[in-house]
Amino acid sequence: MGTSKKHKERDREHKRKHKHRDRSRSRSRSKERSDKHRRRERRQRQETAPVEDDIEYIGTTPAEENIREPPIDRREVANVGAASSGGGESLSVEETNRLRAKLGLKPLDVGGSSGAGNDGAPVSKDEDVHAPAVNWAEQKKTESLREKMAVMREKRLINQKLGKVKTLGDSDSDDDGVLGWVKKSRKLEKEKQLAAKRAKLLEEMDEEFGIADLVEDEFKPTKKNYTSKDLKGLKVKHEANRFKEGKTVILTLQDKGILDEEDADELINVNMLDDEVVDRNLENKKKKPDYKPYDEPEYDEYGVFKPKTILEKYDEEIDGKKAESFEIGGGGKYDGLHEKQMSKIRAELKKQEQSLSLSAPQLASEYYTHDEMDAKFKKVKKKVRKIRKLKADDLLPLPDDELNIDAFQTPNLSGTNHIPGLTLVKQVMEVDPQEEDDLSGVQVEDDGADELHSALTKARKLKIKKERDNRVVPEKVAEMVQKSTVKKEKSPNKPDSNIILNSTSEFCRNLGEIPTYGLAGNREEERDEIMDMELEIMEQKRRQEEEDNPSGWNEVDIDDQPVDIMGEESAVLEEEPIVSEGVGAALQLAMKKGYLEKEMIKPTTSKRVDLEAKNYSIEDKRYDDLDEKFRKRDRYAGGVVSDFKDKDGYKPNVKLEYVDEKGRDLDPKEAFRQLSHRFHGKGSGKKKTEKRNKKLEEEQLMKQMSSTDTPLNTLSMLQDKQKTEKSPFIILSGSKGLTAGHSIMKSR
Amino acid sequence: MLEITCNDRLGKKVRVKCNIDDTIGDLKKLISAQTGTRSDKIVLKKWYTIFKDHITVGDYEIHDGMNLELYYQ
Repeated sequence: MGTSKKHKERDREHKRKHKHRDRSRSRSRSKERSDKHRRRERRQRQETAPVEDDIEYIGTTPAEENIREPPIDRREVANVGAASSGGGESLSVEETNRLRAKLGLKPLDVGGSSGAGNDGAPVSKDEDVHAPAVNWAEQKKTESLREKMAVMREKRLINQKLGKVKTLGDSDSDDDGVLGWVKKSRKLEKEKQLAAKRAKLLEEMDEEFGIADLVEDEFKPTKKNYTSKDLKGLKVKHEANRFKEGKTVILTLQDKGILDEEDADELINVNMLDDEVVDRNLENKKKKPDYKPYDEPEYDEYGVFKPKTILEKYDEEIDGKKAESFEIGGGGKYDGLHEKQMSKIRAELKKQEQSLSLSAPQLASEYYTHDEMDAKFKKVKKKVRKIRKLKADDLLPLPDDELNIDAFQTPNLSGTNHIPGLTLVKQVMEVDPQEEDDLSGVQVEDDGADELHSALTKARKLKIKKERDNRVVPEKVAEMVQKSTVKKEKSPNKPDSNIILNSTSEFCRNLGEIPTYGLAGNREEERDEIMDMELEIMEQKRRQEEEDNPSGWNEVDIDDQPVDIMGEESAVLEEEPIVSEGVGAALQLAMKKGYLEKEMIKPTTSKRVDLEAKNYSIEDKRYDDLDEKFRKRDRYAGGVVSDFKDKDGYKPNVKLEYVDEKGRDLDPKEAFRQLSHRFHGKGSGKKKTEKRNKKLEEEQLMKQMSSTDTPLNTLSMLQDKQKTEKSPFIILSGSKGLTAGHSIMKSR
Repeated sequence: MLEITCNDRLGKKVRVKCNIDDTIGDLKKLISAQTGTRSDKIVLKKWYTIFKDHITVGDYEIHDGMNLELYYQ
């Protein structure tokens, strides 16, 4: 740092030299010297300055320094402290103080000791000062005490202030008691008397001078009688019809602001105002919401169309209510005649008006209204009827329907045989006359000639009708009985040659064709018939027995008919038809085995040919592109156009049939396989062919086997075995059927 | 009284004596008297805190012999 510092110093010196030269030439020299000298001094004082070699240092007095200082030049000051200890520039305390004085700052506080400041200065570490801790409790105590004292002081002050002011109570208490009051009142009395005296004096004086009248005139109020005439033109702020005749109503002038310009006074009655308010409120309550869905036109009370304004419902709120008022006429009277006339006219108009509006549409209710209910169930008034007995004699005498009851009471049946069925009819006939009597005994209600007449005719008609029926029935019955007797004569057990209807055959017929029925050929009608007959006889017998002994015991007949095993067996396993008998038998066999399929004879296509359209093709369905169609047709039509007339009705029935090398018919699938193999030059694999061959063989076997037996003829073998053993069963397991206990029986 | 060292690291390093209740502004004046830079161009810093003019040295807890950074604005 040494060299650089030196350079700096030199620079500064150089500059300063120049400056000082400007100021005073005379002193320039000495100054230079002094400068140098001073610096040297400082350095020496601070004991930090390095030893200089080439610069001379001349001692100077501090007085000189002082002279030089006054214009504070920072540079100068700065230079003063140049090259201080610790690497930085530093001023001494005195110098700093001087500087501070110039800057307007207080001097540095250098306490007694060099390091420690008097109060704010940082306490040096070696000198510890004990600052006793503040006692908070004491502090609080003193504070509270101080506060108390302050409050007391304030109180005292206020009291002092208020002590001077008299309160209301004090003032009274001032002139004490009754005595004071008496004195006061006496004083007042005296004053009054004095005043009266003075007035008297004045009056006397007036009279003396003769101006008493004048004065009186002057001070007398000019009294005019306010009569009903003065009321003319006054407005009453109520409707005229609010006032009732013969009733007095006190009207007052309405309150008004003094500055209001409206000159006309208005009369009101407070009660009426209240009434009006009440009325208006009621009106508001009654008012329906302003909803007019169809915007119907409105008419006022005279039936005059009311012009519509926008949002008229708010008119009242905006403009205020229209006040009805009337003016009092001359002589303080009001004539209500006009009003009355108007109302009369109004009423008339109202009468005349006719509404064009139709009644509002109404939803039809699902229930009857009260009126409708009443209408429905109106009670018919019961007429009081006189009851008169009607005798049979009254009915008979009419000449139209002469009917001899006796004639039909003894019908023409005596000739016929007595048949048990007839008794019933007779009974009916016997009953009838009684009925007739009853009818004659009926009390016919009578309440008028018509009713009687109608009832009579009705009764008569009824009677005639019955008689006719009665007359007819016996004949019919007779006929029927005759027929039945004839039948009965025929029916007894006579073997009939023509048709025999019995329950069994009927039942069977109803069942329809039972596939197994009669196929075996052993079902003989005859035998069945006989069996049925026997059964019937037995049934009859049983019934008779039942009738004979009414006790609950039944006798059971033991059926001693042997069961025909063979017959039933053959029904299950029928014999195979023998082919050698003929072509028919062979065909039958073929049918049974399924070689031939029974075909329903289908109506062949040829039958429908003439019904089909001649020139129909799928193309015809499309009409949208006729051009296309015809183009195509043209293309095909390039060949033969005319029909082939030689074979007009020729419709070849083409059927493709494929046969394999063994002559077997192939179905389409097989046929295709064959074709495909031929085409590709290779057949199916060994396994596949084997499989197919096996299948074919099986099929063949199936065809060859008997339809009633297994392929190995087990059944026939079993039958043979049965025949040899002569037993109805075969033991299927066990050792040769010797142990019957263990065997499972197969009952046939 | 305390002595503070102020150093801009560009070649100026001054030691200034001041009172503890001097404001930073006063300190700056002193520094300017010593260095020759105008006081209003001086910025005193310690780390990232820039010392404000109206606050005293004592409030910033600047103690004797502390180093302040001297910047110019």
